[in-house]
Order: sequence, then structure tokens, then C-alpha cells
Amino acid sequence: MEYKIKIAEVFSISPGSRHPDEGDYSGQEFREKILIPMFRKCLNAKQFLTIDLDGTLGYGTSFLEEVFGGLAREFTVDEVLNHIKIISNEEDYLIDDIKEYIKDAKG
Amino acid sequence: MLKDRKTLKDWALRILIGIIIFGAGFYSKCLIDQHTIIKFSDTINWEANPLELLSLIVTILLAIYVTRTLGKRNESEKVETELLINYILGFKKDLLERFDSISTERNIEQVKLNSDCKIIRKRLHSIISLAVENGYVDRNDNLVNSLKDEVTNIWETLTDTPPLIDGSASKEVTDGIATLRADKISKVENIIIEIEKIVFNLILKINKG
Repeated sequence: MEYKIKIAEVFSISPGSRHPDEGDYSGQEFREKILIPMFRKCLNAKQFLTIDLDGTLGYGTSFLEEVFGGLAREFTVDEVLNHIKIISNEEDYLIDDIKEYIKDAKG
Repeated sequence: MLKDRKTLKDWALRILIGIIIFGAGFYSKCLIDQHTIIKFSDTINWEANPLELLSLIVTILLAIYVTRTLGKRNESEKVETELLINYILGFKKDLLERFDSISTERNIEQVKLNSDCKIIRKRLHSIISLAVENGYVDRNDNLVNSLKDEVTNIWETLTDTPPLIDGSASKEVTDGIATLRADKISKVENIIIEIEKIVFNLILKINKG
């Protein structure tokens, strides 16, 4: 079974900021409602989770940090790096940014 | 019929002009012979030195090569350079248009900022790819890396700002956000100045080839 999340389809084409009180479609909301449940399934199944970033209007640094840095804080940096695959054909440089957020994640 | 007559008239005119030019040339030769120390030979030497002939052929071929091939190539490179520079200037103009107005806007819309940053970053990476692919700059060039870093700084500075929405926060919080906002706007304005300098240097570098 392939585990895949396309943010523009399952969440929003206009991702917002970090926390829900800063506006709609926050990183925290995405992480808690969509990403973590799916990531747990992937870990249990020992599979990769593919996250497709294409198709949105654009991401803010706070959204990405909250989603991926937050995921690394919830689990571990190694678990996240070893079980997540990111697709970003529109902005390939985001992949490096996200890896940095994951590596820099602090509890 | 009328056309044939016109052609005949043209030819007659050309022959007449030829005779006049030849006459003028001959008269000039006589004048030069009589009044100067320069003397023209009355015979034409038809002997040809093979080496001179070869040299003449090479000169003619070189002239054709320089004017046609090299000329065209230089023209093509010039057009390519101008296109790339226009593309970079277009990027700078777009950047200024998108981010110059943020200091006067009352509310910063997060989604719009995200979208603007996406377009600007994407545009920059596209220009850099073109410049690298066509051999104008190196992928690890200092100017290229500085430009990428500064644009990423704008993205990080602006998209980490909480939106300022009227009436959604207490006065203390609003004041705090306003100060934070002013700091970030000032930072972005400084980054834009840096970007302008880098773009200027990059254009100079591309022009120098």
C-alpha cells in the first residue's frame, strides 16, 4: 500500500501560518489532523510516507517548520528522515529547507 | 516590349557610366604620371605566385568566415546576454513591486505573502538555472549564492510573521505584533537594497562574459 498525502488536495491550496489562532489552515492543524495519523500508520507498516507539496499557492516558513519540525519533535529526527519522502516539482529547493527544519527540530 | 526597352536603356546607361569612370581613371593616371614621382606600369603582369594565390584565397575565406560565422555568433551571444540581463532586471522589478508596498499595507495577508514568495523564489531559481546552463555563471558562484540566500531571507522574514488582523488581539499583543512587523519590514527593506547591489554586480559579471 502506498501512503501519500498531497497537501493541495487533502488540506488546502492556501496553507496558512503556524498555529490555528493565526488563521486558517495552519501547520499545527495539518500536522495533528492529517500528518500524524498517517505517519503512525506508515511507521507501523514500515513504509514510506510521500508528501506532495505541489499545487498550492505557496508555503510559509512557519507552516513548514510547524509541520515537519513539529513531526520530528513528536517522533524522532531519524524516524522522520527515514520514513518521509517529499515531492516538490514546483519548488525543489523546499526539500532542502524542510530537511533543515527536521534536523534543527528541538523539543 | 516596354520592359525590354527599359532594360536596354539601363544597360546603355551603365556602359556610359563605365566608359566615363574608365576615362576618368585613365586621365588621372596620366596626370599622376606627369606631375608626381609615382609611375604606373603600362603592362599588366599575369604571372601568379602560388604562395601569394594561396594567401589570397585564405584571406578571402577568412574575411567570409569573420563576417558571416563569427559575426553571426557574436550577434547571437549578444542577444542571449541581453535576454538574460532583461530577465534579471524583470526579476528585480517584480521583487520591488511585490515587496515595496508591504510597509504601507495595514494588514499583511499571509496567503498573499506565501504566494509572492513562491513566485519570486521560483523565478530566481529559473534565472539562475538559465545562467548556469548557458555558462554565464558557475552554480556555486558567490553572487548566485548570495542572491539565493537574500531571497530566502525575505521568505523567512515575511512568512514567519503572524498576520495582523484588526480587532483580533489585545492592545499589548497588537503593539507587540506592530513592533515585530515594523522590525521585519525594515529588515526586508534592507535585504532588498542588498539584492539590488547583488543584481547590479551579477549583470556586470554577465556582461563581462
